Amino acid sequence: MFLYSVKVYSVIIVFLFCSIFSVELLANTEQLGQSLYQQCAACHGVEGQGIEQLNTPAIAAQYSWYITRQLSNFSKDLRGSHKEDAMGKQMANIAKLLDLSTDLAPLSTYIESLPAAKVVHQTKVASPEHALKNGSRYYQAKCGACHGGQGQGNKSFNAPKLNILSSQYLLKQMENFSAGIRGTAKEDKFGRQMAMMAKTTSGQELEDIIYYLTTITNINAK
Amino acid sequence: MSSGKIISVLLVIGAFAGGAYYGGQNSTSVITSSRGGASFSGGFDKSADQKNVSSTTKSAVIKREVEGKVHRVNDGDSIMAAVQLAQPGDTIQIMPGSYHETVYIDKDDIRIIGVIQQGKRATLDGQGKLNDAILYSGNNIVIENLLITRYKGNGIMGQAGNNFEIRNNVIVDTGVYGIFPQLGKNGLIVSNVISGIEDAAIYVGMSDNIHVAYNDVFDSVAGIEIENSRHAIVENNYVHNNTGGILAFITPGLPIKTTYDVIIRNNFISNNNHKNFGAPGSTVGGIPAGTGILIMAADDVIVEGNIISGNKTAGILITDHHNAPNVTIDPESDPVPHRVMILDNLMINNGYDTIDEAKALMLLEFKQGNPDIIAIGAKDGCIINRHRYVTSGINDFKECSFTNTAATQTYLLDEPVPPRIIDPSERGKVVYMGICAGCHTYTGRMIGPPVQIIQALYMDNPQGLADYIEHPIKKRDDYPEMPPQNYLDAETRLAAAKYMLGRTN
Repeated sequence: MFLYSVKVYSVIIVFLFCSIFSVELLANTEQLGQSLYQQCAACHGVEGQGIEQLNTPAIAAQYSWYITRQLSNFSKDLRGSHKEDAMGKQMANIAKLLDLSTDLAPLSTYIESLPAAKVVHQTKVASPEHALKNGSRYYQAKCGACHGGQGQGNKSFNAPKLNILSSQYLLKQMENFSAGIRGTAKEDKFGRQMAMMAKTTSGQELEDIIYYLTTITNINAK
Repeated sequence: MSSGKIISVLLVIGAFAGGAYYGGQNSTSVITSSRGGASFSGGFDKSADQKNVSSTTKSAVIKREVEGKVHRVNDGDSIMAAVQLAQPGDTIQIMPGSYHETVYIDKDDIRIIGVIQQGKRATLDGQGKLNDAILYSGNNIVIENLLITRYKGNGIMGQAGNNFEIRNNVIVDTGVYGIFPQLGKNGLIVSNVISGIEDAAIYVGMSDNIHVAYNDVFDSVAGIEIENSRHAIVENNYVHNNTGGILAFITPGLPIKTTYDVIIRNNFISNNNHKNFGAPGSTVGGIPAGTGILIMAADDVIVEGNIISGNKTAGILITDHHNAPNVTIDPESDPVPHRVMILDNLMINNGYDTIDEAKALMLLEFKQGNPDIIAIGAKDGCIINRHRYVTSGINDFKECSFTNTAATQTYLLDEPVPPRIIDPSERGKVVYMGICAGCHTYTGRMIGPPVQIIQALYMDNPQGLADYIEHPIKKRDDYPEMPPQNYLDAETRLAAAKYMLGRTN
């Protein structure tokens, strides 16, 4: 009986050590992510809200698996290597400074943990009422099946959140996808999927879709 | 000038315009009796389809010269096992009891008859786990006297089978579609009781020469749908407490692009005010609660002799694709509803709590009251006795040149059509049309995601898509779960996947 209790106690003690250790590890990872983020803050903002004047997107609350993939794509020249993609090139240069094996996980986890920020939409539409109706049906028809009915993204399709992004950034990326500036590399399968869909919309319809998205952005913004 | 004065000037002008308008309306009410006058001569030329052979009784399935074997299925036995044993010409009798299975009939001339004993029926119970109760791809199929409940997908679905009769079934709380013949010609849907369906209780999809009569349809999102189909009569049904009662329309993005020649007559269409419980963002999710009859982009639809009452949005709503919510434009489908013909109907207590769009349309015509008929984008329509109804958007409707449809009894064919001949090279196409297109359009959100998106996801991977349709995994919170298509063989699944990935509209 006594022996049994000792066994039980030692199991408990070992378990406690493990949890303390993992809590510590967790804290360390968070600290590491936070310190790595300092090199991002200059352009993406301290809270990851994106900076209008620099044309940088909001990244706060974006899924870590998406941040990870994009950083990796930038550093491997799968994104941001096209000569007309000036913004992408800047990002690629920064991404190449990261150590992919050690930095990606803590950094992207930290970015996902940032609360969604309030973004400012710069694009305008002539008739908001019409844009809302038309944008909503084309969003559901062309985007929602992967990015979710509320633009919340969907891990099953590797589709990022859209409801944290500004209209001008969304428009720019759609143009890049359509024009073959983004989503062309053979290894970038998900980018190619997006490029194929991006080419199915343009002009007023695209502007309406993006307008619809602005009406569901920042639902959870602080 | 103060703003107060401007407003009163506007009011005066408005009053003059309104007065002139009402004066013009009230001076001449054309009263037409539907007992006399010309009768609609029918929109279907039988000689183009079959030799016009007369028959005394109308049946949709082929006549049996010799009756085949009768297979009796007792409580506890498997219906599917009996189907496997059956030969064309055989009848399967199902005794009262509880059956938990999916029955797939890929043979011609099979009759599935439930035996009702002192009110007890053969009950197919999906227990909330199974997807489909009965699927048939054979021709000359009869399904009768069953009780079907708690399936997640379809109650009874036809997949490219011609000449069918679905009668006297009770279908309760069963998934997405209650009775759903897809791509069938010459079919009868009669005396069924259907309720609690998330999309359409009766969904006639991409079919021709269909007769839907004496059904009791309630508590569903869409009651009876005639969709991308031609030569259909919907008569003598009781359609109540659905979101929308009876619908004739074109869904854009399906492989068959038209709906025309539909007669909706002598139905009770009452209190279809059920909250819409279709998936938000989907086509069916866009139907306004309180719609008696909805006509969207369909041509040559006749509405006659219905009692349309208590539908809070409108008795009859007619729209083109541009003005309908959640509908995308298909360049190959004409978005305009041409030649809607409204004959005598009894309309009472409709439109009492209508939608803002309808109010705005009424306002444009200086009209007040609760709308019976709201039309937007309709062309070349006609109506008789228009003075009876509160309407909007039908000022350019002419007087109809006929007053009734008595001369057109049925669009069922005198002789059943031959089975659909499927060339092996067209297997993928037939599956796409007969099965996939039931839930997927090319560009729009129906029940499943649009085909265009599936093409992007599986651009160079038809085998991946074929594997998915065999064992679908739920990936989207806001879409219904896809039923596995594992009753099709591997070769057929791959052919369908390849065909789907190659479509361009």
